[in-house]
Amino acid sequence: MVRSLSETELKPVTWEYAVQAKGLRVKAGRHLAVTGLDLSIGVGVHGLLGPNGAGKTTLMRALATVLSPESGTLELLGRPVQERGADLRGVRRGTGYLPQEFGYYPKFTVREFVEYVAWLKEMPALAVPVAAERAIARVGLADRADRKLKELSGGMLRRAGVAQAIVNTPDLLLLDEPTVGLDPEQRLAFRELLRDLGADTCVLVSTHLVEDVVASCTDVVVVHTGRVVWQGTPGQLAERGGTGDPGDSAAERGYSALVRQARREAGA
Amino acid sequence: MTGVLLYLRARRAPAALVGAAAAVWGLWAIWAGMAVPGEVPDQMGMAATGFAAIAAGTTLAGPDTHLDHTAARPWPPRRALHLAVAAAVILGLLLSVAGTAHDYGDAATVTRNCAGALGLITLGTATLGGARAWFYLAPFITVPPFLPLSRTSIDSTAGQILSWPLQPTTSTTATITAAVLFAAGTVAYIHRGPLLTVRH
Repeated sequence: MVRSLSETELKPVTWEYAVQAKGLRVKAGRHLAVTGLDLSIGVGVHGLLGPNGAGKTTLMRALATVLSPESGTLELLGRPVQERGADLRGVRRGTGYLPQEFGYYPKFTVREFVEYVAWLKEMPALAVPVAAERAIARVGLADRADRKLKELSGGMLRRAGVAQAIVNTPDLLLLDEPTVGLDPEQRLAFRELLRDLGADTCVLVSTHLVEDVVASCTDVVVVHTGRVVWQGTPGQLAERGGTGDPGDSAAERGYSALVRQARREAGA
Repeated sequence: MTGVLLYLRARRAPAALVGAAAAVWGLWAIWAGMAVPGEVPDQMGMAATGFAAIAAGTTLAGPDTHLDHTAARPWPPRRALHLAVAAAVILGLLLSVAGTAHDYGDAATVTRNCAGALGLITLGTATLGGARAWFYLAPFITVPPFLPLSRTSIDSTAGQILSWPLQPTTSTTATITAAVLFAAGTVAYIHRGPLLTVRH
């Protein structure tokens, strides 16, 4: 049933940027949510910040190959993804994705859920149990691996979602709101996991929590109305804010200043 | 547990099988219990076929179409195999009562109706999503029992198209209608898969 790999797929692909987008436009339903976005990111942990409706989730879906771009160019893991005959299979094998909400598999245990996604990612059957075990342990659910998903709390469910996203040891990891529902202790542990993953993986984390970005990201991308309006380090983000900008920390004030400026420019 | 077993469980295949069997054997048992001689009426036959197809339709999309969509595993051949197995199971269930005093009609009628019903379900899955897959098929189950239709009363082409499940197998129009529905639904589903529900 499973088709053998073509020569193109077997050829090793090298890349500098795990994600390279130019003039990317993506629709969410009938609404154009990503409106000409340019982005290049490589290994490291990248925080994706932006107000509601900025196009963060649509961008994540496009990078996860769930949505197809309307126009522009998009290269993931060194492979162009819009062309006819694009190596989507290779991209998907190397990508992990945690959607903002994931569909419910209530009768699956955590282990079964993670193993199922490993199977979807075409991991070798013999490697699946060990990989699933490792991914579950990394998110701190080892003692609940045989619990059904319907028995888990929101935070544990979120961690199970992260486990399925990292089971294939992806080169590109896309996490949409991964810290929703996590308690403070779990959030701290998750930040550490992110830093660990970012050592050899391109991790893009979409979040509203500026403090998570500052604590765990090497790079920050701010989007507004479907475009990147700023990209820099957390330290540079902190320098952008002034005393008049709202926020509890320098980084939050910097983020507020950027969003205000983007709103003014969009209005103009 | 192997991936295929997990796939079947993710698609709720065991529950769907129970549902399809309950529809087919349940309606047959009701008719048999009423002790009316002869085969099950066409309307009831279509209802059994339709409910079995709806049960099968629940397996055509997973709980999370987005996660499924990011699978490296190529879907089109898997979808084709899935449909072939679903069709075989429904046909097998409907023909399992063949030869009894109250069967669902001859094999040709059962096959035609099964193909048409699956076509409508797959078309619904591809264009409306897994949750609304039943939408196009529902009228063919719910309306016929209330219409004074009989196999001989409809001569117009439009009438034969609209009442294709109730036509005799000699009706080429009805057979073509079912074949077109099956082909359109199968191609749409295999090629596109279940409609992606975009959540905001």
